[in-house]
Amino acid sequence: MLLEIRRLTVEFQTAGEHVRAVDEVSLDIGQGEVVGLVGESGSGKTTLGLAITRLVPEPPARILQGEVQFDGEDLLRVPRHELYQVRGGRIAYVFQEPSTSLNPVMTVGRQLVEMIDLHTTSRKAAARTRAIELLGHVGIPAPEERMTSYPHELSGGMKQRVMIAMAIASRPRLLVADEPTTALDVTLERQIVALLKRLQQELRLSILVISHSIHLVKQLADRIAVMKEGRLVEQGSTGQVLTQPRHEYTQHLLAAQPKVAALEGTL
Amino acid sequence: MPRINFAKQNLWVWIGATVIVSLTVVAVAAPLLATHDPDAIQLSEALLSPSAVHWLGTDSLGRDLYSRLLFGARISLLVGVGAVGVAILIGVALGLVAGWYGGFVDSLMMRAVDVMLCFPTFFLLLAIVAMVGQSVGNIILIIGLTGWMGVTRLVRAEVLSLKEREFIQAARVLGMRPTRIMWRHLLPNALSPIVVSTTLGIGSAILVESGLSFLGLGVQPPTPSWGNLLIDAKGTLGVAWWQTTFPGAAILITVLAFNLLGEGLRERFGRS
Repeated sequence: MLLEIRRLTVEFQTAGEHVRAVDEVSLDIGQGEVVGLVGESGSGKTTLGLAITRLVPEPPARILQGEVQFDGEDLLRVPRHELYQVRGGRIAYVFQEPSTSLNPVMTVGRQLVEMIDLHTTSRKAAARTRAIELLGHVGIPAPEERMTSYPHELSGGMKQRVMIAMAIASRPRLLVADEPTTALDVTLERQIVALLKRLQQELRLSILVISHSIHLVKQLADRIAVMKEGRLVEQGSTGQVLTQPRHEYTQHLLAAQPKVAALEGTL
Repeated sequence: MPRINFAKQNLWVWIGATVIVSLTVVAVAAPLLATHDPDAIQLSEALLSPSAVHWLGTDSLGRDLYSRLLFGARISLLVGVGAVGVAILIGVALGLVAGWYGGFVDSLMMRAVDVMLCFPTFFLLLAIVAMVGQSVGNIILIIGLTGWMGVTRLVRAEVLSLKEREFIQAARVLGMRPTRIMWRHLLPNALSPIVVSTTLGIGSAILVESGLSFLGLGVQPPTPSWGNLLIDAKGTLGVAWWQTTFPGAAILITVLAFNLLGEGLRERFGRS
Protein backbone atom coordinates (compact mmCIF):
# COMPACT_ATOMS: atom_id res chain seq x y z
CA MET A 1 0.00 0.00 0.00
CA LEU A 2 1.25 3.47 -0.89
CA LEU A 3 -1.03 5.30 1.53
CA GLU A 4 -2.71 3.87 4.60
CA ILE A 5 -4.98 6.17 6.56
CA ARG A 6 -5.93 4.71 9.94
CA ARG A 7 -8.67 6.01 12.21
CA LEU A 8 -7.93 9.62 11.22
CA THR A 9 -9.97 12.14 13.21
CA VAL A 10 -9.97 15.88 12.56
CA GLU A 11 -11.95 18.22 14.76
CA PHE A 12 -12.87 21.86 14.18
CA GLN A 13 -13.38 24.09 17.15
CA THR A 14 -15.50 27.17 16.57
CA ALA A 15 -17.03 29.30 19.30
CA GLY A 16 -16.83 26.54 21.88
CA GLU A 17 -18.38 24.00 19.58
CA HIS A 18 -16.50 20.88 18.53
CA VAL A 19 -17.29 19.45 15.12
CA ARG A 20 -15.67 16.27 13.84
CA ALA A 21 -15.11 16.96 10.15
CA VAL A 22 -13.32 13.65 9.75
CA ASP A 23 -14.31 10.91 12.15
CA GLU A 24 -12.19 7.77 12.47
CA VAL A 25 -11.69 7.38 8.74
CA SER A 26 -9.53 4.50 7.46
CA LEU A 27 -8.70 4.37 3.76
CA ASP A 28 -6.02 2.68 1.65
CA ILE A 29 -4.64 3.66 -1.72
CA GLY A 30 -2.40 1.23 -3.58
CA GLN A 31 0.45 2.00 -5.95
CA GLY A 32 -1.06 3.19 -9.25
CA GLU A 33 -4.57 2.91 -7.91
CA VAL A 34 -7.29 5.53 -8.37
CA VAL A 35 -9.63 5.93 -5.44
CA GLY A 36 -12.73 8.10 -5.66
CA LEU A 37 -14.05 9.88 -2.60
CA VAL A 38 -17.63 11.09 -2.92
CA GLY A 39 -20.01 12.83 -0.59
CA GLU A 40 -22.09 15.97 -0.38
CA SER A 41 -20.45 19.29 0.47
CA GLY A 42 -19.58 19.51 4.13
CA SER A 43 -19.08 15.77 4.44
CA GLY A 44 -15.40 16.26 5.25
CA LYS A 45 -13.88 14.94 2.05
CA THR A 46 -11.75 18.01 1.35
CA THR A 47 -10.58 18.13 4.97
CA LEU A 48 -9.52 14.49 4.67
CA GLY A 49 -7.52 15.28 1.52
CA LEU A 50 -5.78 18.20 3.22
CA ALA A 51 -5.18 16.38 6.50
CA ILE A 52 -3.02 13.80 4.73
CA THR A 53 -0.20 16.35 4.58
CA ARG A 54 -1.36 18.31 7.64
CA LEU A 55 -2.61 21.21 5.51
CA VAL A 56 -5.72 21.74 7.61
CA PRO A 57 -5.46 25.09 9.39
CA GLU A 58 -4.47 24.46 13.02
CA PRO A 59 -6.22 26.21 14.79
CA PRO A 60 -9.24 26.07 14.33
CA ALA A 61 -8.75 22.45 13.23
CA ARG A 62 -6.97 19.80 15.26
CA ILE A 63 -5.90 16.34 14.25
CA LEU A 64 -7.05 14.34 17.25
CA GLN A 65 -5.80 10.87 16.41
CA GLY A 66 -4.90 8.49 13.65
CA GLU A 67 -2.05 7.57 11.35
CA VAL A 68 -1.23 8.48 7.77
CA GLN A 69 1.33 5.93 6.62
CA PHE A 70 2.84 7.06 3.35
CA ASP A 71 5.78 5.20 1.85
CA GLY A 72 6.51 3.71 5.25
CA GLU A 73 6.42 6.84 7.41
CA ASP A 74 3.63 8.38 9.44
CA LEU A 75 3.10 11.87 8.01
CA LEU A 76 1.30 13.00 11.14
CA ARG A 77 4.48 12.45 13.12
CA VAL A 78 7.27 13.69 10.85
CA PRO A 79 8.80 17.09 11.64
CA ARG A 80 7.26 20.08 9.89
CA HIS A 81 10.20 20.86 7.61
CA GLU A 82 9.93 17.38 6.08
CA LEU A 83 6.31 18.07 5.23
CA TYR A 84 7.41 20.93 2.96
CA GLN A 85 9.18 18.30 0.87
CA VAL A 86 6.17 16.00 0.85
CA ARG A 87 3.63 18.67 -0.08
CA GLY A 88 3.77 19.27 -3.79
CA GLY A 89 6.64 16.81 -3.89
CA ARG A 90 5.64 13.19 -3.34
CA ILE A 91 2.01 14.18 -2.73
CA ALA A 92 0.64 16.80 -5.11
CA TYR A 93 -2.69 18.57 -5.23
CA VAL A 94 -5.03 19.92 -7.89
CA PHE A 95 -7.97 22.05 -6.82
CA GLN A 96 -11.28 23.27 -8.09
CA GLU A 97 -10.57 26.88 -8.96
CA PRO A 98 -7.96 27.04 -11.69
CA SER A 99 -8.76 30.69 -12.39
CA THR A 100 -7.58 31.90 -9.00
CA SER A 101 -5.02 29.25 -8.14
CA LEU A 102 -2.25 30.89 -10.13
CA ASN A 103 -0.43 34.00 -8.99
CA PRO A 104 -1.80 36.82 -11.19
CA VAL A 105 1.43 38.83 -11.27
CA MET A 106 3.78 36.02 -12.32
CA THR A 107 4.05 34.37 -15.73
CA VAL A 108 3.00 30.76 -16.05
CA GLY A 109 6.55 29.82 -16.92
CA ARG A 110 8.08 31.41 -13.82
CA GLN A 111 5.56 29.69 -11.56
CA LEU A 112 6.25 26.35 -13.14
CA VAL A 113 10.03 26.84 -12.98
CA GLU A 114 9.73 27.90 -9.33
CA MET A 115 7.84 24.69 -8.64
CA ILE A 116 10.51 22.57 -10.34
CA ASP A 117 13.26 24.44 -8.46
CA LEU A 118 11.50 23.80 -5.20
CA HIS A 119 11.32 20.04 -5.48
CA THR A 120 14.18 18.98 -7.72
CA THR A 121 17.85 19.84 -7.92
CA SER A 122 17.90 20.65 -11.62
CA ARG A 123 19.67 23.76 -12.86
CA LYS A 124 17.85 26.85 -14.15
CA ALA A 125 18.16 26.06 -17.86
CA ALA A 126 17.17 22.46 -17.27
CA ALA A 127 14.17 23.58 -15.22
CA ARG A 128 13.01 25.76 -18.10
CA THR A 129 13.31 22.94 -20.60
CA ARG A 130 11.43 20.68 -18.22
CA ALA A 131 8.70 23.29 -17.74
CA ILE A 132 8.12 23.55 -21.49
CA GLU A 133 8.11 19.76 -21.71
CA LEU A 134 5.52 19.56 -18.91
CA LEU A 135 3.24 22.12 -20.55
CA GLY A 136 3.37 20.10 -23.76
CA HIS A 137 2.77 16.93 -21.78
CA VAL A 138 -0.51 18.21 -20.33
CA GLY A 139 -1.70 19.17 -23.80
CA ILE A 140 -1.06 22.90 -23.99
CA PRO A 141 -0.47 23.98 -27.58
CA ALA A 142 2.65 26.07 -28.33
CA PRO A 143 4.06 25.50 -24.83
CA GLU A 144 7.14 27.63 -25.42
CA GLU A 145 5.04 30.70 -26.16
CA ARG A 146 2.73 30.02 -23.21
CA MET A 147 5.70 30.20 -20.82
CA THR A 148 5.60 33.99 -20.97
CA SER A 149 1.80 34.23 -20.63
CA TYR A 150 0.15 35.61 -17.52
CA PRO A 151 -2.69 33.56 -15.99
CA HIS A 152 -5.37 36.03 -17.16
CA GLU A 153 -4.34 35.36 -20.75
CA LEU A 154 -5.30 31.69 -20.48
CA SER A 155 -8.72 30.03 -20.54
CA GLY A 156 -10.06 28.10 -17.54
CA GLY A 157 -9.24 24.74 -19.09
CA MET A 158 -5.71 25.85 -19.92
CA LYS A 159 -5.20 27.09 -16.38
CA GLN A 160 -6.32 23.76 -14.98
CA ARG A 161 -3.82 22.07 -17.31
CA VAL A 162 -1.11 24.38 -15.98
CA MET A 163 -2.11 23.46 -12.42
CA ILE A 164 -1.84 19.79 -13.34
CA ALA A 165 1.55 20.43 -14.94
CA MET A 166 2.69 22.07 -11.69
CA ALA A 167 1.33 19.15 -9.72
CA ILE A 168 3.19 16.50 -11.71
CA ALA A 169 6.38 18.60 -12.02
CA SER A 170 7.91 16.89 -9.00
CA ARG A 171 7.00 13.38 -10.22
CA PRO A 172 4.66 12.74 -7.28
CA ARG A 173 3.57 9.29 -6.14
CA LEU A 174 0.10 10.46 -5.12
CA LEU A 175 -2.10 13.13 -6.68
CA VAL A 176 -5.02 14.50 -4.68
CA ALA A 177 -7.50 15.93 -7.18
CA ASP A 178 -10.16 17.84 -5.26
CA GLU A 179 -13.11 18.69 -7.54
CA PRO A 180 -10.71 19.02 -10.50
CA THR A 181 -13.46 19.68 -13.04
CA THR A 182 -16.23 21.33 -11.05
CA ALA A 183 -15.41 24.83 -12.30
CA LEU A 184 -15.22 23.67 -15.92
CA ASP A 185 -17.88 22.92 -18.50
CA VAL A 186 -18.73 19.41 -19.67
CA THR A 187 -16.46 19.38 -22.72
CA LEU A 188 -13.51 20.48 -20.65
CA GLU A 189 -14.40 17.98 -17.95
CA ARG A 190 -14.01 15.18 -20.51
CA GLN A 191 -10.65 16.53 -21.62
CA ILE A 192 -9.33 16.85 -18.07
CA VAL A 193 -10.57 13.36 -17.18
CA ALA A 194 -8.82 11.96 -20.26
CA LEU A 195 -5.64 13.84 -19.29
CA LEU A 196 -5.71 12.52 -15.72
CA LYS A 197 -6.22 8.98 -17.00
CA ARG A 198 -3.32 9.29 -19.40
CA LEU A 199 -0.99 10.73 -16.77
CA GLN A 200 -2.02 8.07 -14.29
CA GLN A 201 -0.98 5.34 -16.70
CA GLU A 202 2.19 7.02 -17.95
CA LEU A 203 3.50 7.98 -14.53
CA ARG A 204 2.04 5.07 -12.55
CA LEU A 205 0.42 7.72 -10.41
CA SER A 206 -1.94 6.97 -7.57
CA ILE A 207 -4.85 9.39 -7.50
CA LEU A 208 -7.33 10.31 -4.81
CA VAL A 209 -10.13 12.00 -6.74
CA ILE A 210 -12.51 13.92 -4.53
CA SER A 211 -15.89 15.07 -5.84
CA HIS A 212 -19.54 15.49 -5.03
CA SER A 213 -20.24 13.95 -8.42
CA ILE A 214 -20.33 10.17 -8.72
CA HIS A 215 -20.53 10.72 -12.44
CA LEU A 216 -17.04 12.22 -12.49
CA VAL A 217 -15.55 9.77 -10.03
CA LYS A 218 -16.76 6.64 -11.78
CA GLN A 219 -14.93 7.62 -14.97
CA LEU A 220 -11.61 7.50 -13.16
CA ALA A 221 -11.75 5.41 -10.03
CA ASP A 222 -10.91 1.76 -9.47
CA ARG A 223 -12.51 1.97 -6.05
CA ILE A 224 -15.04 4.36 -4.55
CA ALA A 225 -15.38 5.48 -0.95
CA VAL A 226 -18.49 7.29 0.22
CA MET A 227 -18.33 9.85 2.99
CA LYS A 228 -21.15 11.29 5.07
CA GLU A 229 -20.87 13.64 8.03
CA GLY A 230 -17.21 12.85 8.50
CA ARG A 231 -17.54 9.08 8.39
CA LEU A 232 -16.81 6.60 5.63
CA VAL A 233 -20.10 4.83 5.15
CA GLU A 234 -19.15 2.57 2.28
CA GLN A 235 -16.21 1.56 0.14
CA GLY A 236 -15.74 -0.98 -2.57
CA SER A 237 -14.83 -1.46 -6.21
CA THR A 238 -16.41 1.06 -8.57
CA GLY A 239 -18.64 -1.55 -10.22
CA GLN A 240 -19.84 -2.90 -6.92
CA VAL A 241 -20.62 0.50 -5.38
CA LEU A 242 -22.47 1.63 -8.49
CA THR A 243 -24.53 -1.50 -9.05
CA GLN A 244 -24.99 -2.90 -5.55
CA PRO A 245 -24.70 -0.03 -3.09
CA ARG A 246 -24.95 -1.41 0.42
CA HIS A 247 -25.52 1.75 2.34
CA GLU A 248 -28.77 3.65 2.07
CA TYR A 249 -26.91 6.96 1.69
CA THR A 250 -25.03 5.70 -1.38
CA GLN A 251 -28.35 4.72 -2.94
CA HIS A 252 -29.58 8.27 -2.33
CA LEU A 253 -26.44 9.73 -3.92
CA LEU A 254 -26.84 7.51 -6.96
CA ALA A 255 -30.49 8.40 -7.31
CA ALA A 256 -29.57 12.08 -7.17
CA GLN A 257 -27.41 11.83 -10.31
CA PRO A 258 -28.93 12.95 -13.62
CA LYS A 259 -29.76 9.97 -15.83
CA VAL A 260 -27.40 10.81 -18.65
CA ALA A 261 -27.88 7.47 -20.41
CA ALA A 262 -31.66 7.85 -20.45
CA LEU A 263 -31.41 11.35 -21.86
CA GLU A 264 -28.97 10.29 -24.54
CA GLY A 265 -31.48 7.65 -25.66
CA THR A 266 -34.12 10.27 -26.36
CA LEU A 267 -31.87 12.58 -28.32
CA MET B 1 0.57 44.40 -12.19
CA PRO B 2 -1.84 46.82 -13.82
CA ARG B 3 -0.62 48.03 -17.16
CA ILE B 4 -0.43 51.79 -17.19
CA ASN B 5 -2.40 53.31 -20.00
CA PHE B 6 -0.51 56.51 -20.67
CA ALA B 7 -3.19 58.15 -22.77
CA LYS B 8 -5.71 58.03 -19.95
CA GLN B 9 -3.39 59.23 -17.18
CA ASN B 10 -4.51 62.59 -16.02
CA LEU B 11 -2.51 65.74 -16.41
CA TRP B 12 -1.69 66.24 -12.73
CA VAL B 13 0.09 62.91 -12.40
CA TRP B 14 2.21 63.86 -15.36
CA ILE B 15 3.06 67.23 -13.88
CA GLY B 16 3.99 65.56 -10.61
CA ALA B 17 6.13 62.95 -12.30
CA THR B 18 7.86 65.52 -14.51
CA VAL B 19 8.69 67.75 -11.55
CA ILE B 20 10.09 64.79 -9.59
CA VAL B 21 12.24 63.63 -12.48
CA SER B 22 13.56 67.16 -13.11
CA LEU B 23 14.30 67.61 -9.40
CA THR B 24 16.21 64.35 -9.34
CA VAL B 25 18.26 65.44 -12.36
CA VAL B 26 18.93 68.82 -10.76
CA ALA B 27 19.96 67.20 -7.47
CA VAL B 28 22.33 64.79 -9.18
CA ALA B 29 23.80 67.45 -11.46
CA ALA B 30 24.00 70.13 -8.75
CA PRO B 31 27.80 70.67 -9.03
CA LEU B 32 27.43 71.23 -12.78
CA LEU B 33 24.47 73.58 -12.55
CA ALA B 34 25.64 75.66 -9.61
CA THR B 35 27.11 79.06 -10.42
CA HIS B 36 28.97 79.47 -7.11
CA ASP B 37 30.41 77.39 -4.30
CA PRO B 38 27.36 76.92 -2.06
CA ASP B 39 29.39 77.31 1.13
CA ALA B 40 31.65 80.19 0.05
CA ILE B 41 31.11 83.12 2.39
CA GLN B 42 31.50 86.56 0.79
CA LEU B 43 30.46 89.14 3.36
CA SER B 44 30.85 92.00 0.88
CA GLU B 45 28.02 90.49 -1.16
CA ALA B 46 25.59 89.85 1.70
CA LEU B 47 21.85 90.17 1.15
CA LEU B 48 21.98 91.05 -2.54
CA SER B 49 18.64 90.78 -4.34
CA PRO B 50 18.32 88.51 -7.39
CA SER B 51 20.52 89.63 -10.26
CA ALA B 52 22.38 88.32 -13.30
CA VAL B 53 25.28 87.20 -11.08
CA HIS B 54 23.30 85.84 -8.15
CA TRP B 55 20.16 84.52 -9.85
CA LEU B 56 18.21 84.10 -6.64
CA GLY B 57 20.11 86.59 -4.53
CA THR B 58 22.44 85.97 -1.57
CA ASP B 59 21.98 85.36 2.15
CA SER B 60 23.27 87.34 5.12
CA LEU B 61 26.72 85.74 4.76
CA GLY B 62 26.89 86.47 1.04
CA ARG B 63 26.39 82.87 -0.07
CA ASP B 64 24.71 82.32 -3.45
CA LEU B 65 21.13 81.21 -2.81
CA TYR B 66 20.65 79.54 -6.20
CA SER B 67 23.66 77.29 -5.65
CA ARG B 68 22.62 76.52 -2.09
CA LEU B 69 19.12 75.64 -3.26
CA LEU B 70 20.54 73.15 -5.79
CA PHE B 71 22.70 71.43 -3.20
CA GLY B 72 19.79 71.59 -0.76
CA ALA B 73 17.73 69.53 -3.21
CA ARG B 74 20.29 66.75 -2.79
CA ILE B 75 19.94 66.69 0.97
CA SER B 76 16.17 67.07 1.01
CA LEU B 77 15.53 64.38 -1.58
CA LEU B 78 18.08 62.08 0.04
CA VAL B 79 16.42 62.46 3.42
CA GLY B 80 12.95 62.00 1.90
CA VAL B 81 13.82 58.86 -0.06
CA GLY B 82 16.08 57.42 2.62
CA ALA B 83 13.63 57.91 5.48
CA VAL B 84 10.78 56.38 3.50
CA GLY B 85 13.07 53.53 2.50
CA VAL B 86 13.71 52.76 6.17
CA ALA B 87 10.01 53.05 7.01
CA ILE B 88 8.96 50.82 4.10
CA LEU B 89 11.55 48.19 4.98
CA ILE B 90 10.35 47.94 8.57
CA GLY B 91 6.67 48.34 7.70
CA VAL B 92 6.66 45.73 4.95
CA ALA B 93 8.54 43.15 7.03
CA LEU B 94 6.32 43.59 10.10
CA GLY B 95 3.13 43.80 8.04
CA LEU B 96 3.91 40.59 6.16
CA VAL B 97 4.72 38.69 9.35
CA ALA B 98 1.72 40.04 11.28
CA GLY B 99 -0.72 39.38 8.45
CA TRP B 100 0.59 35.94 7.60
CA TYR B 101 0.97 34.45 11.06
CA GLY B 102 -1.98 36.20 12.71
CA GLY B 103 -2.91 35.26 16.25
CA PHE B 104 -0.57 36.26 19.05
CA VAL B 105 2.21 37.55 16.79
CA ASP B 106 -0.29 39.78 15.01
CA SER B 107 -1.78 41.17 18.25
CA LEU B 108 1.67 41.90 19.64
CA MET B 109 2.77 43.78 16.53
CA MET B 110 -0.45 45.71 16.15
CA ARG B 111 -0.28 46.81 19.78
CA ALA B 112 3.29 47.97 19.11
CA VAL B 113 1.90 50.01 16.22
CA ASP B 114 -0.82 51.46 18.46
CA VAL B 115 1.74 52.44 21.08
CA MET B 116 3.97 54.10 18.49
CA LEU B 117 1.02 56.03 17.11
CA CYS B 118 0.28 57.40 20.58
CA PHE B 119 3.47 59.44 20.62
CA PRO B 120 3.20 62.90 19.14
CA THR B 121 5.64 62.11 16.34
CA PHE B 122 7.23 65.48 15.97
CA PHE B 123 8.14 65.81 19.64
CA LEU B 124 9.41 62.27 19.68
CA LEU B 125 11.61 63.21 16.73
CA LEU B 126 12.88 66.30 18.53
CA ALA B 127 13.71 64.29 21.62
CA ILE B 128 15.59 61.57 19.74
CA VAL B 129 17.52 64.04 17.57
CA ALA B 130 18.54 65.94 20.69
CA MET B 131 19.91 62.69 22.12
CA VAL B 132 21.72 61.13 19.15
CA GLY B 133 22.90 64.15 17.18
CA GLN B 134 22.09 65.65 13.82
CA SER B 135 23.98 63.87 11.04
CA VAL B 136 22.14 63.23 7.76
CA GLY B 137 22.26 59.49 8.45
CA ASN B 138 20.72 59.94 11.88
CA ILE B 139 17.95 62.17 10.54
CA ILE B 140 17.08 59.59 7.87
CA LEU B 141 17.02 56.77 10.40
CA ILE B 142 14.95 58.67 12.92
CA ILE B 143 12.30 59.87 10.47
CA GLY B 144 12.14 56.33 9.12
CA LEU B 145 11.90 54.74 12.56
CA THR B 146 8.97 56.95 13.52
CA GLY B 147 7.09 56.54 10.24
CA TRP B 148 6.64 52.81 9.62
CA MET B 149 3.30 52.27 11.37
CA GLY B 150 1.04 53.26 8.49
CA VAL B 151 2.86 50.96 6.09
CA THR B 152 2.65 48.08 8.56
CA ARG B 153 -1.11 48.43 8.81
CA LEU B 154 -1.48 48.74 5.07
CA VAL B 155 0.62 45.68 4.27
CA ARG B 156 -1.02 43.63 7.02
CA ALA B 157 -4.49 44.43 5.70
CA GLU B 158 -3.40 43.52 2.19
CA VAL B 159 -1.90 40.21 3.36
CA LEU B 160 -5.03 39.34 5.34
CA SER B 161 -7.15 39.53 2.21
CA LEU B 162 -4.53 37.97 -0.09
CA LYS B 163 -3.85 34.95 2.07
CA GLU B 164 -7.40 33.69 1.60
CA ARG B 165 -6.95 33.74 -2.18
CA GLU B 166 -6.54 30.35 -3.81
CA PHE B 167 -3.13 30.95 -5.30
CA ILE B 168 -1.65 31.58 -1.87
CA GLN B 169 -3.36 28.44 -0.58
CA ALA B 170 -2.00 26.69 -3.67
CA ALA B 171 1.51 27.88 -2.84
CA ARG B 172 1.21 26.29 0.61
CA VAL B 173 -0.11 23.09 -0.88
CA LEU B 174 2.78 23.02 -3.34
CA GLY B 175 5.14 22.84 -0.38
CA MET B 176 6.45 26.42 -0.25
CA ARG B 177 7.86 27.70 2.99
CA PRO B 178 6.21 30.75 4.60
CA THR B 179 9.19 33.04 3.90
CA ARG B 180 9.12 32.19 0.22
CA ILE B 181 5.37 32.70 -0.01
CA MET B 182 5.68 36.07 1.70
CA TRP B 183 8.44 37.48 -0.47
CA ARG B 184 7.64 35.89 -3.83
CA HIS B 185 3.86 35.72 -3.79
CA LEU B 186 2.37 38.05 -1.20
CA LEU B 187 4.67 41.05 -1.59
CA PRO B 188 4.42 41.43 -5.38
CA ASN B 189 0.63 41.33 -5.12
CA ALA B 190 0.60 43.94 -2.38
CA LEU B 191 2.89 46.27 -4.29
CA SER B 192 0.45 48.90 -5.53
CA PRO B 193 -0.58 50.29 -2.12
CA ILE B 194 3.08 50.20 -1.07
CA VAL B 195 4.09 52.25 -4.10
CA VAL B 196 1.37 54.78 -3.35
CA SER B 197 2.31 55.18 0.28
CA THR B 198 6.01 55.42 -0.62
CA THR B 199 5.32 58.30 -2.97
CA LEU B 200 3.13 60.15 -0.48
CA GLY B 201 5.59 59.34 2.32
CA ILE B 202 8.55 60.96 0.54
CA GLY B 203 6.64 64.23 0.37
CA SER B 204 5.83 64.23 4.04
CA ALA B 205 9.35 63.14 5.03
CA ILE B 206 10.74 66.16 3.16
CA LEU B 207 8.34 68.35 5.12
CA VAL B 208 9.37 66.78 8.41
CA GLU B 209 13.04 67.33 7.60
CA SER B 210 12.35 70.98 6.75
CA GLY B 211 10.48 71.38 10.01
CA LEU B 212 13.29 69.81 12.02
CA SER B 213 15.89 71.94 10.26
CA PHE B 214 13.88 75.07 10.85
CA LEU B 215 13.86 74.30 14.56
CA GLY B 216 17.62 73.84 14.40
CA LEU B 217 17.47 70.10 14.96
CA GLY B 218 17.67 68.95 11.37
CA VAL B 219 20.71 68.50 9.19
CA GLN B 220 23.65 70.34 10.72
CA PRO B 221 24.38 73.76 9.13
CA PRO B 222 26.13 74.88 7.01
CA THR B 223 25.00 71.85 4.99
CA PRO B 224 22.32 73.44 2.80
CA SER B 225 19.05 71.54 3.28
CA TRP B 226 15.92 73.46 2.32
CA GLY B 227 14.88 73.73 5.93
CA ASN B 228 18.30 75.17 6.79
CA LEU B 229 17.93 77.81 4.10
CA LEU B 230 14.71 78.90 5.76
CA ILE B 231 16.21 79.21 9.21
CA ASP B 232 19.09 81.24 7.77
CA ALA B 233 16.47 83.61 6.43
CA LYS B 234 14.63 84.01 9.70
CA GLY B 235 16.57 87.06 10.88
CA THR B 236 16.24 88.97 7.63
CA LEU B 237 12.63 88.19 6.83
CA GLY B 238 11.68 91.85 6.48
CA VAL B 239 14.48 92.90 4.15
CA ALA B 240 15.29 89.90 1.98
CA TRP B 241 12.09 88.33 0.62
CA TRP B 242 14.03 86.09 -1.79
CA GLN B 243 15.69 84.24 1.06
CA THR B 244 12.43 82.70 2.25
CA THR B 245 10.42 82.72 -0.95
CA PHE B 246 12.66 80.48 -3.06
CA PRO B 247 13.38 77.71 -0.55
CA GLY B 248 9.73 77.82 0.52
CA ALA B 249 8.59 77.49 -3.06
CA ALA B 250 11.02 74.62 -3.61
CA ILE B 251 9.58 72.71 -0.66
CA LEU B 252 6.02 73.47 -1.71
CA ILE B 253 6.53 72.39 -5.32
CA THR B 254 8.37 69.21 -4.36
CA VAL B 255 5.88 68.05 -1.75
CA LEU B 256 3.02 68.96 -4.07
CA ALA B 257 4.61 66.95 -6.89
CA PHE B 258 4.96 63.86 -4.72
CA ASN B 259 1.38 64.21 -3.50
CA LEU B 260 0.02 64.63 -7.02
CA LEU B 261 1.88 61.55 -8.20
CA GLY B 262 0.88 59.54 -5.14
CA GLU B 263 -2.79 60.44 -5.36
CA GLY B 264 -2.78 59.81 -9.09
CA LEU B 265 -1.24 56.36 -8.61
CA ARG B 266 -3.71 55.56 -5.87
CA GLU B 267 -6.60 56.36 -8.16
CA ARG B 268 -5.00 54.42 -10.97
CA PHE B 269 -4.41 51.27 -8.90
CA GLY B 270 -7.76 51.63 -7.19
CA ARG B 271 -9.57 51.47 -10.47
CA SER B 272 -7.92 48.31 -11.79
